[in-house]
Amino acid sequence: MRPADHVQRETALDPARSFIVQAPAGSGKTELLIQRYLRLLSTVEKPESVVAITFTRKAAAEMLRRVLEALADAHGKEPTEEHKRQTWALAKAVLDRDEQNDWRIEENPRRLEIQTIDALSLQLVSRMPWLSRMGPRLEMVDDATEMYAEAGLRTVALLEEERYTHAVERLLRHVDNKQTRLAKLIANMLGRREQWLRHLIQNDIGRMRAQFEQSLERGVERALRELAKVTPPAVLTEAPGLMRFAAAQLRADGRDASVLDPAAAFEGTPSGRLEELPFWLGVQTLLLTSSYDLRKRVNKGQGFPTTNKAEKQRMESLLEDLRGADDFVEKLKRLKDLPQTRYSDEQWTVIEALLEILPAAAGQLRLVFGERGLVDFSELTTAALHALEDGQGPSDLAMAFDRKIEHLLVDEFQDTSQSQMALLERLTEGWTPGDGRTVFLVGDPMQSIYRFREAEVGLFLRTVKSGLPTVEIEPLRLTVNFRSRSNIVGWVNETFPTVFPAEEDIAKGAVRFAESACASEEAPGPDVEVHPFWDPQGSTAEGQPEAEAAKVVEIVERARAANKSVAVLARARTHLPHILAALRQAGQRYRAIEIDPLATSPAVLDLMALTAALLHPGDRVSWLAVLRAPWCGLSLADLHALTGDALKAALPELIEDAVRRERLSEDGRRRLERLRAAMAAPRQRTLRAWVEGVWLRLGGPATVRNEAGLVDAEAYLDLLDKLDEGCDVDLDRLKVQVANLFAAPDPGAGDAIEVMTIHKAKGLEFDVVIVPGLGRRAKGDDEQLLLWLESPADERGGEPELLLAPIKSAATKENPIYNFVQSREGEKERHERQRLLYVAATRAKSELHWLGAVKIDKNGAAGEPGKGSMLHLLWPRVKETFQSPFETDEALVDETRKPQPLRRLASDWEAPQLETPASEDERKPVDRYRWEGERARLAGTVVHDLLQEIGREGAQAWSAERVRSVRPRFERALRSAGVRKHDLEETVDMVERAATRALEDERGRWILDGNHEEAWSEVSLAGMDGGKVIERRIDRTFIDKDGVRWIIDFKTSDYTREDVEAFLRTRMEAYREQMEQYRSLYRRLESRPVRIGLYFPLLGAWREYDAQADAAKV
Amino acid sequence: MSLAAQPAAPLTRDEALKLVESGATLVTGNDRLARLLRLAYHDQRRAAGETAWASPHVHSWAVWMDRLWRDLVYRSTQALPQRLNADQERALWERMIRRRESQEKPLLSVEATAETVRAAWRLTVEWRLDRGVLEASESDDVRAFALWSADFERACAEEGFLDSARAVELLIERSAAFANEAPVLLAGFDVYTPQQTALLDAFRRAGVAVRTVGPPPRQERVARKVACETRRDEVRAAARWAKRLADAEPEARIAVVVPGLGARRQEVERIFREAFDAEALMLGAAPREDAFTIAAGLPLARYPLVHSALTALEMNPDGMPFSTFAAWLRGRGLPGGRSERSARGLLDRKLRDKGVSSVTMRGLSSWLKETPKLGKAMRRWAKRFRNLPAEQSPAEWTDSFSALLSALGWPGRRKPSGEDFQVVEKWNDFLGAFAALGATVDTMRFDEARRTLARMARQTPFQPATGPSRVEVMDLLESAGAEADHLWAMGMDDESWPAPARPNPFLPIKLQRERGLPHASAEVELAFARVETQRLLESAPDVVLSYATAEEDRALSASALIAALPEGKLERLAPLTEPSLIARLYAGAKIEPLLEDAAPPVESGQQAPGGKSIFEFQAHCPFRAFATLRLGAKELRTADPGLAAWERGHLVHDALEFVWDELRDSRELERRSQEALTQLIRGGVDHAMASLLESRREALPPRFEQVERARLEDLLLEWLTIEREHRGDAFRVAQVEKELETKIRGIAVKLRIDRIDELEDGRQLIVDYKTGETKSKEWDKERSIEPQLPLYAISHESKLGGALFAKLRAMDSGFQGAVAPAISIKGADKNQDAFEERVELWRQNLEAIAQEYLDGEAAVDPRDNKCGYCRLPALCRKDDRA
Ligand code: SF4
Repeated sequence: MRPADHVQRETALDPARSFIVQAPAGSGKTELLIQRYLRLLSTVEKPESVVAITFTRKAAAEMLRRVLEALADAHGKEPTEEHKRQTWALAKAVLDRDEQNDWRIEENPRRLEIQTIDALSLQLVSRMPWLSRMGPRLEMVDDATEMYAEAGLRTVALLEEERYTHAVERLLRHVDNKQTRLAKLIANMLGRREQWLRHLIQNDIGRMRAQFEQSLERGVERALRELAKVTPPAVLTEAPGLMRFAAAQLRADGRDASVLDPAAAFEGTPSGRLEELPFWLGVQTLLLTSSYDLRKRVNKGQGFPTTNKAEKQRMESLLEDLRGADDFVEKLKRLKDLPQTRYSDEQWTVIEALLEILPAAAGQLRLVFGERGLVDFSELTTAALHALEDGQGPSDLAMAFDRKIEHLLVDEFQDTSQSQMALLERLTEGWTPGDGRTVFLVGDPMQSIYRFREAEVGLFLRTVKSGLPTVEIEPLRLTVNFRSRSNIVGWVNETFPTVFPAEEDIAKGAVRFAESACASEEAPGPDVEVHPFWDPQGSTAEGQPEAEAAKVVEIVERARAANKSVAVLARARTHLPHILAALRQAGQRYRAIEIDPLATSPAVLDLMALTAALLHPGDRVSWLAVLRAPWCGLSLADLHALTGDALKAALPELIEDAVRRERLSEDGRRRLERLRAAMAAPRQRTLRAWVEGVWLRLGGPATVRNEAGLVDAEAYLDLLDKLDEGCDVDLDRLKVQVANLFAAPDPGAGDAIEVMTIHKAKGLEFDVVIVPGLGRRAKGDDEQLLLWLESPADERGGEPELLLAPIKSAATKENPIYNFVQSREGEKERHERQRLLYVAATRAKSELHWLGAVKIDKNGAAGEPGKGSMLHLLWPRVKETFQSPFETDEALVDETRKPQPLRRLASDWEAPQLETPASEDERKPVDRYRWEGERARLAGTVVHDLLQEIGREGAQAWSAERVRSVRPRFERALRSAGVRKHDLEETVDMVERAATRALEDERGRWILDGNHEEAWSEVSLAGMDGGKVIERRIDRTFIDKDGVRWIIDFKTSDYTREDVEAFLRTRMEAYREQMEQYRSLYRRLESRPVRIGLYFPLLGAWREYDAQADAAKV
Repeated sequence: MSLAAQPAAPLTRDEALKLVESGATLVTGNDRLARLLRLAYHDQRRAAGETAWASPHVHSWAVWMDRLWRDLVYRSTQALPQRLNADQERALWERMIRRRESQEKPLLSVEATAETVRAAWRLTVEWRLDRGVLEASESDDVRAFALWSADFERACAEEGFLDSARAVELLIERSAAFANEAPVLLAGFDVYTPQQTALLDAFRRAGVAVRTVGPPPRQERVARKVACETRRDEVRAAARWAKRLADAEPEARIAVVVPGLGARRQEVERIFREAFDAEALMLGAAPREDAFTIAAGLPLARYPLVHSALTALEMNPDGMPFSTFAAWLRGRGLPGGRSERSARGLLDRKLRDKGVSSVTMRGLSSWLKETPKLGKAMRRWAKRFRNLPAEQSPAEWTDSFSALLSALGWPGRRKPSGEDFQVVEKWNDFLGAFAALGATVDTMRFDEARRTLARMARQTPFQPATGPSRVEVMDLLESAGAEADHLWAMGMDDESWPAPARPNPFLPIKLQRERGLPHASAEVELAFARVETQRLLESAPDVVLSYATAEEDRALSASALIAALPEGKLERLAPLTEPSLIARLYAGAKIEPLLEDAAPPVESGQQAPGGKSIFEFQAHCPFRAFATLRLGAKELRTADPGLAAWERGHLVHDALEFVWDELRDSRELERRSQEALTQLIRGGVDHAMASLLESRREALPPRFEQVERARLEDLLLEWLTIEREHRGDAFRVAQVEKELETKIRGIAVKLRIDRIDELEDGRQLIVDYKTGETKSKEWDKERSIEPQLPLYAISHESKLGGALFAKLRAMDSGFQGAVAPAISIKGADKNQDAFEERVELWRQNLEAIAQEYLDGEAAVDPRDNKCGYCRLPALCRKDDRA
């Protein structure tokens, strides 16, 4: 049977047209994407011309895998199943194409361009390192917080730089002169610079002010327009007259009519223009009390004295009519939050300072990036954009890629950010209709949940409406859900139309619900359940975590008994600890994906303490922790005995104090001894080796609770390796980095039970889905230095709405513009929450459980859920369940909080017996580096070379003049070794002096005589020495007329002080062993007598070793 | 290629070694092969029973080029240009790039760019690319390269330099000079660049015999692929496999090929150590030298001694970040070595307690008493540092660096042990290499020199010498010509093999692809991977090629290039015969509960340590009080730059003290005009600032000071207004900053109260200035974590009229607290009638807390289950008690 939306699915494969496909949860969009990808491949010359962009690396890998599988299957027979046949046929066509064009995709799958947009940007940038200003060899980091912080600090320090003094000072005053706070706020802004940096490129601040104020105006107008839209007609007909009347009455009474007067003067039909604001404020005053509730009655205080019955009655019947018009009242009330549409001068000076400082901060960040050779993704995207903008666009692109992009496919298009969108527009620049190039965008606006990564769902909506600048795009919509049972689909269809807004709004990211149809009908069952809880204290933000946890365990157990896969999907990690504890207690092993911070794993805490203790003898907390950790496990009494009377001392000293150790219990002493032995291990080349070695000796692995602990320990040690700078690490940095890591999932747990955040569950499916903590709110964002809100224009090419408001200053209380922007932000956030709820609901195949708590109010009745909670969104649908009679269970709370005794290694535990390491090797002294020495060494090398050359030709062929004539050569050689010009002369002189001296000296001439037999310079010899092969180089050797083999080394030392004789003796001693080695090598090569000696050309000195001894033998 | 056209069949290895014996030069495609063949030659000689012989001429191509160049220099009659080494070339390229940089959008990293540009240049020369194509290119990057190249050539010509790539061209030109050269044998070349071919052809034309050496023929061989779970598991499996074979066949040569070994060196080394020598790992001993070798160096900067040296060079006696100083203190090779180690730790700790965020020698001098050797060295160092010239040549900098380091006692012992000795020797060589930069750079400033030195240290790989081993781990490129009895090559998954194309971005990609330059395109990579796979398969009679099945969250499978091989069994090839050390320890755990663990009570008659902190800590979490106050568990803090919150609090205190000293009472406050008050406040701020800046100038540079002054003045002016407007009764300031000693349950507590006001009826109000959060509601809690004012209230001897927080926060200032009946202060609690009862309640609560502490109550039980700022989780083990 073909699915109901099969026409759309077939259309989507047309390789000549561009589409944007809205594909709701479970509609099998990946398959569609793959089919289209295959279809396109079979039409192009090079596989690289088709570029598919996925949201994550994992998704890219999966898509690639599925394409390869399809190709592999296409080698086989046509499958019988209907739905597989099409893919098979498409893949087959690709194989033919591959064959024709010799692509060899299967051998070289990397030719398939399936990747994330970040990978694509990286590719672009690394092909245009100069144009993009990024340079080659980029390394990406997922989390650059550390570098933002650094740049933040440096930005604040710009205060001392004339150019920025004023602006930084302004900001410092604004935050009460808290440098670190300002630095942190700037660092936060840097993390979000994708939002603002683009806009700050233009420097005309005056123009920007106008632009921002225009946006504010538009924001106000938008609010008025919305208000006008929901205003009941009765208000428009009645209010003006009533206001006129009331204003007159008030004035007559000598009361304040300053709000009503201008309102009453307003004429015309309100439609949402700025000028109407006074009118609406008048309506507000007329209809609402000072606490913004709809008035119940009116009296002369409002301008309706009892004397004028008729007007009073008209007014009251109007109020009567308005009961139930909640939406109108709410929007009318919201007028109070509308900001001024002009920044106050004070505000503007702050914004001005910010506009100046933020780009400077981005500049500082670039410097930090450059120094560390690391960049974040946002820098990358920006650079890719720049490269494409600054260069010649398409032609640069083609050059960089060595091909044209003919087809673009984008998955999860609903989570595209503004700058990614800009990049897509760049990539499609210059495309013309009918040139055969297409884009294919797939996604589901209802599942856009990555606002925190700058995703902007409005872009999807807008593209459906008006396509891309150079490409016309046809919208398609899939409707069939292959995933969930019909009851779930039904429940979602019934519930979500009220969860989602009734109308789409591009700027606000408001998405309308689109229905799905179930692929197959089954027997109905209780597939969706809502489990209500009530929080009697009403004070905690957590609701009833223990009770919810117990319920989760119950559902999990039932599902496991039925052999179904279960997932617990939480909105935030912090909603999970109780549930995880309960699951553990119930013996259910689960896979928790990025839930528990690594820093809470005891194994890691212990290792961190150990690391700090090894590196820092003054770190008492860490040393005490090491003494207390299970591998040592000192009791509090022993700890106190050891340290209690020396509160400031370094612990290693206390531990080494034998008298002090006597104070401990016997058991404690034994434990301490074990620790001392282990901690004494010498420092290693790498920090990891040091820490891990000590950890092993202490029995660290024996102290972890389970295998997961071992995995955590490994993750920590890997991190140490990464941060190690030379057997050292900055401990603060280590702490921050550890805090960013998560404990590994339990390796012993299968994947039957998974626990993760809803965000992580995107794209996944499970038999049973449990969503706990619906009553809870997520943690708010940190305060922003500059609140920045960009909303896409409704139309392509329109000006985006750009709202910004500086943080409240330390010296003012109210900040209406900030509040206004924040409330707009809140609205967008609410829409995102709706989508998050939808994503959670649609992960379920067969069962869906909602768990949430409401507070019990003063009267003992169930209260309403909090505004920011997900339960609030579901409330209309689930209200009744919560308002049924209830009871709460408080016994649960205490049960889960009993502290356990500490665990430790038994005191008779012993490390496995090991051989003791060999004793330390012999030590040799090294001389301190001195440039003088280095220069002499360099000169020596040149002298050696020269003497070698002279020796090769024979001293006869050389003269002082000839030596002089090759001076430029020495100069070159010495220059290239770094000898500076003013030293050069002197050094060259020395070389010349050495050579000339040797040539003048009789002994020197004899040594360099070319007429000796077997006269060689710089000979290399190899041979055995104590079982090992050694290789040695000899400066000069020859056989004299008596048949004696001479071996001579040149020493270019200079010595100008008195006792030359003594100096020569020390040199002799220094080289004795080496020279004897030469002698021994030659003795083994030939049977003639061998004599050895040193020649000092600069001193004209010659010394032979044991002259008599050898002579005697001759 | 003309080499292929050469008639003579490739030599066998034995024939080649014979020729080497008679003087031929054997040139190899990589360093490792040169080492290997040298060893083989020595082995042959030994086997022939010889004990000494002439060293063979076996070199890698690069070394051969060096030697030929040297020979040419001596053989030429006229002087040749100066040939640059790699560092010098880099420095010159950097100069060229900088010269054309515009200020506006600086390149992110000129250094990295220079490196890639240098590679592009080498490719241009070695592959003899048409330079005209570059200039005409449509790509901005390629054109930029063309410009830099022209600059580079010009600079070389002007200054008489020649880069190493073009030096080869000169060798080709002058090949006649080598006519009498011994035969040249070539081994282990996968491809020859056009330049290499040209050189060899020229030599041949000059009459030098050039021959190639073929790989040894293999008869039977077994090869299979094997799947491992992750890339790390591949290393683990290979290590187990190698260890098992090494034990079973002590004479066999075993090769393990790890693509990208350089970047994974540490990981690979550790895993091999664990497999071969777990004991040494555990004991922290150096591994057995001959167990295995890893043919890849670690950056020099990563060696602890070098790291310490580089950190030391970052220091500046006239102002450096505390973190730099702290890192140096933790380092190696310090004056005072082991004997002052603990004292150095305490020094660091004291500075942290003091909140020091930047260090100067002047500020430090009083802290160095406990570490006399360190102090002496640092004073010597500071003197030398201050005498450094602003600019000098690299050679002179090496001298200065060395002098600074030796002043600081580096490298510690004069006779360092094994590895350290080699490291220091290498460091000396390295300084020499730095000095050689002087060939292309005239002078440098200190910072520039130091940074360049550090960068070079990061780019210089170093490997302490080890003996030869039968088990060798190597990178793919080093494996050409690897001959072994057993070979394992990893990384053969479909994501990495063939590798993605990595063309050089400064050369036209099309050109690179067409000419088949390395890594130019997917096609080139595929062809390369094919050849390499075949070569690996022929390198040993027994070959294992492994691939990972997953990486992070991505699934992988075997590369199509090895798909046809039979699948081997991991359990057979690398069985887990012996569980790992960690697994053994884990399995052998003997865990017991720590049941009797009461903290000892404070001995009666003894002074209980902690003073007033006892009350806050004990109330918050009994364990925290015990650990902090009785075990001295005070965490190490790292100060943020600038003033700490408490210092800013102090400023407010001091300024107000000054102000009230002058005003004395509320009448005077009323009487003074706004201007007079402003004047007075300014005086107070001056006074407070002066005393702070005496010790903390570096924390508050002038401009920051200005902002802080302005802030304080506003705040204080606002405050005096509040004092005027929020208080209904006349008062006089009876005392400021008064100290008081009292005993609570025998615990001696020293208190200091900011201010005591006396009303006209003689009742006194105690006032505590607060510049942070205030919570006077806390006072009534049974376990109050704001015990300061209650403590004072119950110890106050005169008639008490109230206890007040004076909250001084911009736009949020005001009073808070409790007052007795008939006293009017805005912000104070309303239930005045209960004042005396409340004070009594405070007394009871505080005494109960005191008693708990004395009894040694040390439960890990934070109030409301919130740990707040307490940083003791590692010690209290709260996460380990669930
Ligand atoms: S971390 Fe928490 S539980 Fe541990 S001592 Fe501190 S406050 Fe108590």
